[in-house]
Amino acid sequence: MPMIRYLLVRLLGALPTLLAIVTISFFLIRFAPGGPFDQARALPADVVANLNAAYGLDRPLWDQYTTYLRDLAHGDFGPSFRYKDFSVTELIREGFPVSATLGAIAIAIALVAGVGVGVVAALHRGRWIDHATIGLSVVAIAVPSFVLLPALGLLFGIELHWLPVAGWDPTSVRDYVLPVTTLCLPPLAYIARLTRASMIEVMRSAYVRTAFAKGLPLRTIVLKHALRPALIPVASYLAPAVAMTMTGSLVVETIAGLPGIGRYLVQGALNRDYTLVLGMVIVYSTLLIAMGLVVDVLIAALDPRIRLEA
Amino acid sequence: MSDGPILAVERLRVAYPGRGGSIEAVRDVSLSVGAGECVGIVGESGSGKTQLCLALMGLLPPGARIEGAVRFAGAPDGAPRAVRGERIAMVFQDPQTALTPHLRIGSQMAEVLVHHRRVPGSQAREAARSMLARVGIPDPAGCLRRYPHELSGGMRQRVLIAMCLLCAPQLLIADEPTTALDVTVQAQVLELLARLRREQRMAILLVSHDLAVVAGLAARIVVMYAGRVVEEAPADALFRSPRHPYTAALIACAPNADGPIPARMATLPGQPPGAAERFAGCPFVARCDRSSDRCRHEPPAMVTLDDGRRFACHEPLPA
Repeated sequence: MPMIRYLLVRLLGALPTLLAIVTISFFLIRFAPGGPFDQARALPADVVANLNAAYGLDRPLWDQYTTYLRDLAHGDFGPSFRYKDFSVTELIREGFPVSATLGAIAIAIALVAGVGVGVVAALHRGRWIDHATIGLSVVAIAVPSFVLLPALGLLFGIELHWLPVAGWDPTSVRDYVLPVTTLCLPPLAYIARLTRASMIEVMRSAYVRTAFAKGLPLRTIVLKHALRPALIPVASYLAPAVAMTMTGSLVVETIAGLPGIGRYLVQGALNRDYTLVLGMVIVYSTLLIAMGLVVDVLIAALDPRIRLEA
Repeated sequence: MSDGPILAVERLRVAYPGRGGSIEAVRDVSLSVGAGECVGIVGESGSGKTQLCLALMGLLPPGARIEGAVRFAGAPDGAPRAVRGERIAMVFQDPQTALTPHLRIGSQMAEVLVHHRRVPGSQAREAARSMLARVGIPDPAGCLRRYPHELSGGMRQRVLIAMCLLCAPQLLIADEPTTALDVTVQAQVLELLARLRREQRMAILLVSHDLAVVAGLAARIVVMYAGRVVEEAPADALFRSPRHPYTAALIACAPNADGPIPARMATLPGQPPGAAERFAGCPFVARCDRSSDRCRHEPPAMVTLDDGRRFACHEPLPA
């Protein structure tokens, strides 16, 4: 019961946060120079005037803002300025499942493998397997996806003919492999480093020494006594990582030709596609706020000393 | 003591090799504990008491270099490490951090029996419950369901002691078991240890910086200074006539509730030498009021007397 109360209060508290984010983003993008109908060759003035009238851009800014909020309350993100005949709601509804599926798989793999690698490295601290983990994780974090994905495609697609380089069929697992690999490596490496560091600290703690003094086998000590507290920093990292990965990557989705939403935020901002940018900001912040809540509950589950109080 | 000592330590050294020279935590310590006997170890912070205990349990960190011999009669090959948690158990100084925070007391206690005795979990929990009752926990069944942070410091130390006793060990190492507790709780825990020693016929190695804590329980007291044993004697003889000046200073510093209240409490000026320091002579020389020239240059050898007392001093107090 306190749990449900806690969740309700936190969700209500998220609404003003979201409103503030929408408001700031709305006015920021409007104050940026240029507009959605600017092109290399300027359109005739009367055409621009007609377009502005059609999209309501000729009305006072405050008026446009309140109209946008009213539509938003009804679940309408407005029409896209660039993708003619598409509403932002349609674009996100079609693209989000693709990005979210790939992102969720990537984060799940990163979590399981990252924690595993981190624990093994911590237990072999200072030996070659530990040094290899640290070295490889630096590489995995530092190599950008626009290098990694084409390199993987070159090797496994063009040379070995094992996997498709690009293209998207939701039912074909082979299409997932390269983009998921590219997406999951940086968070995997980061989680491995976080786990290693916190595991080393926990293994030095007084209660782990007690567990050793009790004569318990290493397996029990690691899995039962040390792992849960060592996962707390990993849980905190998960909120931004999940929000980031599930909203797609511009680079990965563009190179692999995936119909996700990864490119909308950057493209929308460059094109001054006002409604698309705001739609993406809302999706991203909602996911971030929701994940923050999930992580708080997760950490409370990991450590009984933490109580959720609204 | 008919069947020989249960624990025999011979010339034990613990050192941490490092760039700036080796840090010597324990230097040439020999001692023995008989079956069912309570031996006290007394010394200031940094005298190597805890390092000695950890070495006995095989719990030193990976960087430690250990020399000398530790023989535990309860272990098949004499190595205490193989039977730790079962025949040799240890209570640590700080009960606040010595229990795993996310596991219930019942789970942490039962796993000891499940692992060492291969008993089913329900049976182990029942044994844990009755052991909690024996160490004086008011609601043992409820305590099993609690998390460590829901208990007071004294309760946690009782839980840790109960956890150590589940397998009826032959030797309990208690490293400053009362230091982190309130004075009234200290007395209760010491009484508990005394009672359990009688009931379980268990030997206790009681370590403390506080002579008064050790005095009530230990029949024999070992005094450590700068990683070495400087004096060992039966408790009453040690208090009656200490031979080493350091022991005498420790006794003089202990507040005496029966006598008149002094205007100023006696203190021992100066600091004990660090574990990285080397000395040609006696490590206590800088703080000693009996030191001679010989003390500065020649390390004192251990002198063993007929009555089992021993001390390492060139200028001992008269017997």
